[in-house]
Amino acid sequence: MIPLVFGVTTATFALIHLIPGDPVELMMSNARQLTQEEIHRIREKLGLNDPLPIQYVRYVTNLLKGDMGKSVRSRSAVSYEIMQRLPDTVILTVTSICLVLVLALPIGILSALKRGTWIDTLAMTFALFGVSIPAFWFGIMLMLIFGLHLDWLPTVGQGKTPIEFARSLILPSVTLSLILLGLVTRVARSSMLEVLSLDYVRTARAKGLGAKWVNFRHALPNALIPILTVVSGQFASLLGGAVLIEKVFGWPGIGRLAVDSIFARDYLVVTNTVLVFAVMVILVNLANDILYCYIDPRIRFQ
Amino acid sequence: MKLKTVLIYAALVLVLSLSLAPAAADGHCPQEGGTFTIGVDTFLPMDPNTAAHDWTFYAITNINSMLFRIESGQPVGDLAESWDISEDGTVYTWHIRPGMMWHDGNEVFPEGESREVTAHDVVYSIYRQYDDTSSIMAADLRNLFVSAEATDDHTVVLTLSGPDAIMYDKARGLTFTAIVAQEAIEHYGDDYGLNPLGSGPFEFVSYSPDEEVVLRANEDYYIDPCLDEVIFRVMPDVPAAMIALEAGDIDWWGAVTPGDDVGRFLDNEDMTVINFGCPVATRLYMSVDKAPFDDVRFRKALSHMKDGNAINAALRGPTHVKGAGTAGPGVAGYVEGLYDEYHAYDPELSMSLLDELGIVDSDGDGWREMDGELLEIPMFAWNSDPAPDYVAATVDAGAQIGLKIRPEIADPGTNNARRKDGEWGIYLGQGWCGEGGTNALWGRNGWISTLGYVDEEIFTLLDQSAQNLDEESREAQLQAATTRVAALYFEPAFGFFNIFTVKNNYVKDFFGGEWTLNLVTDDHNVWINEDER
Amino acid sequence: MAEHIVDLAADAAFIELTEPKSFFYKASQQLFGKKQAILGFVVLIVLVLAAIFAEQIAPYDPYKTNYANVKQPPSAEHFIGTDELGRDGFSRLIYGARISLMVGVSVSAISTTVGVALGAIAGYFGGVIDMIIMRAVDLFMAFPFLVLAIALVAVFGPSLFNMMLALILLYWIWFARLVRGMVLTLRETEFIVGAKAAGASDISIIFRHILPNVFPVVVVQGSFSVADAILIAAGLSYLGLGAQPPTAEWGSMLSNAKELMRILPVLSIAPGVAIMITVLAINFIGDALRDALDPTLRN
Repeated sequence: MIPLVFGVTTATFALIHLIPGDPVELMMSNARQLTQEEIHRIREKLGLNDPLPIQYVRYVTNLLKGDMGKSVRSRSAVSYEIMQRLPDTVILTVTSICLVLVLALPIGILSALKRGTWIDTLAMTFALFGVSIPAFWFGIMLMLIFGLHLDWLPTVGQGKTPIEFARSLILPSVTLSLILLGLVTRVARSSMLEVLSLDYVRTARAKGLGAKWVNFRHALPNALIPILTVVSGQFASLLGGAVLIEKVFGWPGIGRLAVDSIFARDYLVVTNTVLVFAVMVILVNLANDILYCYIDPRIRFQ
Repeated sequence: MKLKTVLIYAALVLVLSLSLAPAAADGHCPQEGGTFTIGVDTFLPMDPNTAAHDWTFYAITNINSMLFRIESGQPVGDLAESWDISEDGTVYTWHIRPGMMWHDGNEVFPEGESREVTAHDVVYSIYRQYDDTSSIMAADLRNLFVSAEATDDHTVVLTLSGPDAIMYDKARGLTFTAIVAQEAIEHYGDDYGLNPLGSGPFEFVSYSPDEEVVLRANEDYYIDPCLDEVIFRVMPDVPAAMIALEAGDIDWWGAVTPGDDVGRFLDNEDMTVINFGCPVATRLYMSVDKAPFDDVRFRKALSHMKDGNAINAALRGPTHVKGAGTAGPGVAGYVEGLYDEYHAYDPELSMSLLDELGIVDSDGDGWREMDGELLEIPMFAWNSDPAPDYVAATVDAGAQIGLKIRPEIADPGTNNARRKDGEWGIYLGQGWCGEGGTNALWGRNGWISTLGYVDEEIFTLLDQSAQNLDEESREAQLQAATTRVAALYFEPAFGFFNIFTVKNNYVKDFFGGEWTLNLVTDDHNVWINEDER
Repeated sequence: MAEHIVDLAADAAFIELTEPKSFFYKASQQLFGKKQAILGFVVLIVLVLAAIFAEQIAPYDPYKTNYANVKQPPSAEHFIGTDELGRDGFSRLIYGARISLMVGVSVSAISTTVGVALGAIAGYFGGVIDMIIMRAVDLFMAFPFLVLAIALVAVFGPSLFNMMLALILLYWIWFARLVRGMVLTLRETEFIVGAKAAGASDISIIFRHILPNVFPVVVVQGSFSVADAILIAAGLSYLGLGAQPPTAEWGSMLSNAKELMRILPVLSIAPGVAIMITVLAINFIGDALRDALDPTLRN
């Protein structure tokens, strides 16, 4: 895990510095017009004129001391910038995953049980639609319909009171869940189908146990394992998918921070954000492995 | 007097007093309280030393007192009640308003334990910017700066080595110096920008990055603010923000409004469109030190090949203004008629100029060659609207006269880097307004100097104007510089656009922001009419 | 992103060793026995024809500006109106099919080829080569996909070609991982062990025994990655990192239409629907292909 984290950090640091551009010049806005002289002075003070290897050594040394460095754009600590946004991304991602499970599991299982019927066809077509729509576009359409024309929900930003917050969470989390909805529905269906064809389920049925009982007592828990694997495996892609959606909905999350910082050439923010992403993905996979053992005692760590 | 007459008079008095009521600004608000929500596209921590961003500065100018504010392009008193300037323009004596208190009820000044803002605080704030070489203090002010001294608690003397004519320019000069308390800077250290503390009409409450900033009324301010709360809400996606504005989720969109939306808002009876007051030009830059751009005839051909005004009108909609130069109509240095003289649409002229230069289509493929090779010019631009459209229009215009232009559109960082490296090609340019803008763009060591723009005559004119306190001759110098830029075809122009901001009509007594956002001043006290909301 | 691919990686374990001939037979049986697949094929053929014959079909030049005729609502002359430069939206939509299909197919084809080659080498030979390739795979997988894609495009410099390059760089990983896993299993099977014992060369084993068995899964994977690449390319173009304007491309048309969204929503809706239909058609086909291969569905 540590070599991997180190590799990700180094690769990101190198990659982001390969992008041409100057963070100081990008801070300039309409009214504040910096000359070349002013830009050079600010760069010097921020250590941006130092050779890259020196900047890298400085970054790693500070990181080992627990200091992520400072953002060029906001001049505040990178750890502060990240910690301010991390909870928002986690809330958005977790809500979306819950939405996905609530919708996809019943649909997928139902279509497995009713395999070959019109319900199955309908469910699978629905699942395909889910993976075929550009999510960011879907988000804008939702915003147009529910935010502007019907005026039911807030369009952008976060509500302050718990109720307002929940309301402002609806559109972005629905949009984000679209990314996983189709996939999870299909996995739910196929893993349920697989389990239903297994010997012990057949045996249970042959013993005369009721179909419903067999489905829910024996088949479902086993069908859940692949679903869980897929959902946690897709956690990373959901974080990545949140980038565009956070941007469209003005959600103050970490994905948007990463992308904004790439465009602002805010080197340390990008490097550290990707570092946090990588650690989160690794931790989720670890948690997934543990959960896996818990659900299926046959699997043991080696 | 008859009863009828009395009644008519009474009715008249009533009507008069009702109609005058909203205008009354003597500490009386037609409606107290209310939250003013401002939509912005970016917001950064509020340390005046580092905040180079307009919308961040809007908050700073309400938390902190400024020496003066800009209103309709003119400086008006704020923390400085008045000021005198020595005849040679090098010594400024600022008279500080007595009785201004730092915000209390925070970690630095507990409730009721605040102290008065004095001349020493002003001197501290100026030196804090001057000593920090990475602060955003303008280079011209920094170069002229000699000293700042407090001669007593309410007098600051600022000495310069020469006169500074752009001291009040919204983009340069002293407009950046927000007055901060030494105690707060020392208490918060590097985190001051996250916990700003000042003596302005609003106190800082909270800051959530990429989300919002909340300010509340400072009840100790010398004018009682009508508003209870001011919120800056960050909305990175402009179309989404426009929807929010229309839905009433935000009351004012402080960031630049794109042309098409203004058209829509102009038709909307519930909205008011406010001119930001400094028309911004869209133009082309070129690597003028490299062939064929080093030849004025080629630059002239580029200028006349495109119907700049029609393109600008199509892309900027109602915000479009015909003209050319850095300074637009109503701004010092504006020259009328530059567009018609140097940039008018004349593709025939462009073609004959290219023929004259020997850039002709000799192999009959429809594209012109230079020295026997296809002349394919990259056109660099950034990737947000409407820049790609200007590129599309220019590429199309080039095709009409057989000039092949290849679009090279990238994010602003990459685009800037290309300009900095002086890459061969043409660049789309936008922005820079007013006197300070003319200086920072076309002046010595200006922003585009990397592309090889050198003209001693322009440099000298601009240097002189920046130190010339006589308005009339300064105007003449600026105009001469602008005209020379046009005559050298340094900036094939499309035209200007006005920056508009849009507010909902229920926001009253509000006239917009120009670098400083003046919500509570001697002349204005913004309030919200909740009945109309 | 790249969601189908993980999905199918799990399926790889189900794949039975089959003769390629029977694969094609079953696949064609499945494909033409399913309404959705036929629908997918018909839509895709229409799109491909539109892309090929764009010059003949499009009523106007998609790049021709007309400043006297900007922001027109839909009419008989302009089916989905005109944009801010007076260009015909419908014509641009038709030309856009070219770019989207080209991006999807070429990203998928190249990354499949590279991924299969490297995955097969890693899985078959093992050792240092395997380790290097798998470490690269681990590294790439730890990155958030879209953030990495954005960073790569920014490094190369935004353009259609560079965006495709970045996507290929990210996609081969998935194929390599999948194929390596399959080859590891295949390597131990009786007929390959037997072929080795009979003195067959590595090259001939790879080409005659391993690749034909990997082929069916890769075809399904590939078809899904076409759909996926089109979606991601649209997202990148929406951020201004893909096709260079004025190129008519659906993602950048969406980005361009943002400003006009409330005046001319049709300019925003149409490219989005076009992307959706294209991706849906490809997914229908991929889905049917997968059904043809998935033993749990086969009777």
